[in-house]
Amino acid sequence: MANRPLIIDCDPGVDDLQAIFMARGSEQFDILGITAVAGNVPLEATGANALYIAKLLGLGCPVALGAARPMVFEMPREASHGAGGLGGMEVPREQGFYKKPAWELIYEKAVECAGKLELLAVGPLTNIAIAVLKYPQLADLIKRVVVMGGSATAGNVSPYAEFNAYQDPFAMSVVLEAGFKNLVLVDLDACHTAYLTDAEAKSAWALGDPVGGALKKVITFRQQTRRANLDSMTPEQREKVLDRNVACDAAAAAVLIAPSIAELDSFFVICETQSGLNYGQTVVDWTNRFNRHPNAIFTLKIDRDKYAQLYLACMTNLAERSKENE
Amino acid sequence: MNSTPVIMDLDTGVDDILALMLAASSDRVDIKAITTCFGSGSLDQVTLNTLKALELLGLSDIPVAQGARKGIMSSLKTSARGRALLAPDGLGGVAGKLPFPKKTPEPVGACQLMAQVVEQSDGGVIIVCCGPLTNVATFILAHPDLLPRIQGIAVTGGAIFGGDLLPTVEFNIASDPEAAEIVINSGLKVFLCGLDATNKAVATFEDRERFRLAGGRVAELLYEPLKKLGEYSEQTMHRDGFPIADAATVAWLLNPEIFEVKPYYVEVDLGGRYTRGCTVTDVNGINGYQPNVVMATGINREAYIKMITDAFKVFKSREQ
Repeated sequence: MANRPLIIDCDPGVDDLQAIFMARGSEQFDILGITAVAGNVPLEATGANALYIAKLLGLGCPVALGAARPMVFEMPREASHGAGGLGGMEVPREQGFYKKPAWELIYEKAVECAGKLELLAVGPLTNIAIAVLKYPQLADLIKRVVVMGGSATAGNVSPYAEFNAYQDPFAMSVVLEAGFKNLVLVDLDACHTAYLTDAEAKSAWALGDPVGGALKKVITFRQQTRRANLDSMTPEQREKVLDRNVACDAAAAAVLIAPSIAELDSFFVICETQSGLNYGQTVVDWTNRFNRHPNAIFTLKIDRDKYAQLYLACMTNLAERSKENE
Repeated sequence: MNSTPVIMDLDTGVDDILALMLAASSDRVDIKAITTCFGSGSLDQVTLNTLKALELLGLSDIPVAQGARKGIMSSLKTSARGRALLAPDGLGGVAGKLPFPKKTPEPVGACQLMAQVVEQSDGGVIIVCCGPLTNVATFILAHPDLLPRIQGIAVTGGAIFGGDLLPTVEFNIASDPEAAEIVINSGLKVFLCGLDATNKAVATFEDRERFRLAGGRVAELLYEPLKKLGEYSEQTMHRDGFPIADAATVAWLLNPEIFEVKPYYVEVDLGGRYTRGCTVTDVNGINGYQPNVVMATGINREAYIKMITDAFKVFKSREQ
């Protein structure tokens, strides 16, 4: 039953595409909006990609543009999502965005839903931060926020920082301190526990167009990047990527759809913004050194098999539905 | 067998006493000097504790010099949090039971004593640092000409992941992050015995009883503070016992094969609001720099506990 109102804040992004597909395919949500933020690629491209995905799936919801840059500093980003952000997929530049910015759409829907709206935030958190800064009461109106971001151990853009947190650690801090009752962080470590094997990925893209075709495009793009980097990897890193199709944002979507597939626990988490070396590190206070109340539900682990099952079930369902619509 | 000339830099502390005992129980190291540094307590307190420990262990012939009272950039210190756990004397109240020292510190400072020892040696000196790195950093800055005579610096401190003072910050490094950065980037061989290994180097309830059974005055005197630390650790940290950190660095000198180690590129964070003092370890090689330290990543706990137990036995036999 599609009865959970949801807004997806994203920076598509090959993983974002899979996250949106999963949310739609799960049939649990009434998707009330897609909001785009600069991240994996500039806002111009993430916006166009969000609009394209919304049309491809016939979501019929508003797509709003959000922040073109992080709150305070712009950090260099390495494009690992291919030209345009969707693994080289040709995306038309169309108009048709919601007339107001992302944070307004989020707030309007939060008020309309009177406490039932959920957010899936899989890009840098700039849009959400601006929303809670402008509307401090927003935190109380949101039922649940699931964020893909942060890392409790090693990072992917610096020794300890994960991409989304590193892109806008100030926004991450604002969101962590905003007082959301139910803020779930799906960090890099957790995302790496959830993956599809190559065989499972192939079965996803055998689903036929448009779903299978799009999945094939984005997953094979990632596989090629991984293979190109294999030589420069340590044995541990190689072990981590071989036959493992990780899509971080899809893992966050999976935790939103079925929290029971994840091991979750509450901690106080804060994001470092003042350090050169640790900029963007999400510091998880495992042993209560800061003596603060937990502000986030941290994902420790995702059950890989259940994740893969859920992923394939959502995609299969989505493919069947889009055939019926033809 | 040749013994390695060693300078021990301590902020004595219960585990510093165990480090000292372990080093002095072996003929593979020759403790040439001891220097003291603020850390687990004030400089005066840790110096007095050091002198008392030497008296207890019958090691009063080793020269002792006082070093730093505070970190290099102590004006920046944002994370002062004493170890109330070991109050009031840094030894869990046992300091009063230790023999009053006849010995007094040398009339020279820590850095001078280090330089004297290194000059008089044939080279190959290892500095073992069980506290903040202020004295060692000062020596490195003041005596670049003597550095070729240093075989390496072995440090109790740092962490790849995790922390004890703060979630990602270890106490000794946090006490003087600038000094740690100076030491790590000195070009000397640096071994970091950090939390990734020392958190596994716990003495359980059974181990504490084993130490006591090993006998001797040292074991008897250290039983209570070890029990206090153990119970704290078991109750509040949900560990099996208390990690004995400082002696692990000495154990590495004596018996490196009981450790798992890995070379890494490490920098110390100096600016963070929450991470100042974090030893940022590039585990995934994102920065692409050559390793500048060897880090302990694991330890054979049973073998380590046996080394400490045996050291207690050695000191018991010396009493007779």
